[in-house]
Amino acid sequence: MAITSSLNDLSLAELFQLIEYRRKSGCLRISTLPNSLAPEAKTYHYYIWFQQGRFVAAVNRLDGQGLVSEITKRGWLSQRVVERLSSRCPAKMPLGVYFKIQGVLQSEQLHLLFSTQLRQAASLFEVQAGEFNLDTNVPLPWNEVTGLSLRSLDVALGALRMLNNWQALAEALPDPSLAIQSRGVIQQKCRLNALDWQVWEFAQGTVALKNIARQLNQSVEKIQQAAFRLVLAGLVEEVPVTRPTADQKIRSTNLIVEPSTLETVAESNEVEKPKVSASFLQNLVSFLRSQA
Amino acid sequence: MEVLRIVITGAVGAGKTTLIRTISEIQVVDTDRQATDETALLKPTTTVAFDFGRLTFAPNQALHLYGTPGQARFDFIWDILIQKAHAYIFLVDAHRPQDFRSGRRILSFMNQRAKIPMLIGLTHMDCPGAWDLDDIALALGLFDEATRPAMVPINPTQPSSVSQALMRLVQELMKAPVLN
Ligand SMILES: Nc1nc2c(ncn2[C@@H]2O[C@H](COP(=O)(O)OP(=O)(O)OP(=O)(O)O)[C@@H](O)[C@H]2O)c(=O)[nH]1
Ligand SMILES: [Mg+2]
Repeated sequence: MAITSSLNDLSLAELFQLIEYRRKSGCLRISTLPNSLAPEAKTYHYYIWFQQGRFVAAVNRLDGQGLVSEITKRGWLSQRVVERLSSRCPAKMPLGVYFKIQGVLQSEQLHLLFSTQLRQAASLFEVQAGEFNLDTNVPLPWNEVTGLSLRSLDVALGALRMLNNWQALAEALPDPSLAIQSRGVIQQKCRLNALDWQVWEFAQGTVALKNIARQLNQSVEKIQQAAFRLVLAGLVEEVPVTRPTADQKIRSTNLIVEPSTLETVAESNEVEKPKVSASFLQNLVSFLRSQA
Repeated sequence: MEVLRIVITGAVGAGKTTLIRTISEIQVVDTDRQATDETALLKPTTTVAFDFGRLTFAPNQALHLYGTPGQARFDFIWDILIQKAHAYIFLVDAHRPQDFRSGRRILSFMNQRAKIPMLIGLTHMDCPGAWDLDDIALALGLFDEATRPAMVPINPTQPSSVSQALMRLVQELMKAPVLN
């Protein structure tokens, strides 16, 4: 199955989260588009490969020569040796692994190649105008694979920690008027920074992000970014602010109420609502069944 | 007259009016108007007030359906409608991923406002480019399959599909302690 859309609709970070949680395998193609800042820009294509929700490779070409060109560029192996060896690499074995088994590349070199691919992917998180296509029906290009992999979520969180330009994520960031609420999940090892954990302390849904910023003496943007990372990590969700205490219920519905007080209004309505009987529901089900 | 009130909500073009038209025994009051601004690019007409439909299934027993206007800001209209509702269906157009992010925000908003039984209905599943159910769940921020709300594909243009979805919603209602 393939999913396609614009990066405006779903950010790369959110896509990586989807890939991680749904343990997707396949190829994510990112195509940059000319934008208002660079109307004449060319379209570039990037290909990021995943296996079972893990990031395994990123290249900007489809000829299968991305990894070997990085190797020869560094002068680690000659073109001739690379060609001879690659042709002998067994099917479904990452080329990096094969080179290591052959003793022509060391682990450290593979790590370096892998981080180059990671950096390539991380740079795409700043792309402001682009389209993506996630195709889960394509085999891995084993030639491009070092054999190393990383949780997609960690790739995304890592990329977001280093991100300089957040313009591409403007729509994805939680609104400063919203709060964050813990999802009550056990904290896995997440690549979060100190500020993220400070913001995490406010995950009770009672303090708006803009007020967290004030309390932590940070810019609102920085707090929004931290909250976004926490959302992405699955630790919190963005929610409308609720009152810290339950005893401040406001009854009047005629007032123009603050969003945060509307909840109490809605709560009280459940009581006023006429109840329906069990036999009523049973009748309805029978009727619907005859229509279905 | 015993009445069950159900709100049908969701983004522009999700299929709210169609769903209510499909099941209603009365002609749905047509409040669709020429769409303005961005909506116009998407569809020529949009619902400006709420839709109302009715289904009388036994003497003195009826289902009332209220459709929210897709263009409206959610907070205010929705709070008025939900006051008397027993349950609601949140429709999500499966082939418009651009609506998923706002869908996630609306869901979390509603979840906090009204603790009433609900169902997520995925429409346009038959259209090219439609996402599958579990991908949409994630995009809506519903990570945990065990605790997420019920999600069902609905084709609002088909009476049998609408009936099945409503049956599923009634199941949710039967589980709810506030009723009966
Ligand atoms: N193929 C297909 N078409 C659908 C489906 N659901 C709705 N439609 C069509 O989508 C269009 C929009 O449906 P509406 O019922 O007007 O949507 P709405 O939610 O009332 O939209 P607003 O009032 O503007 O918010 C109509 O042409 C429907 O026939 C579906 O599941 N499959
Ligand atoms: Mg409508």
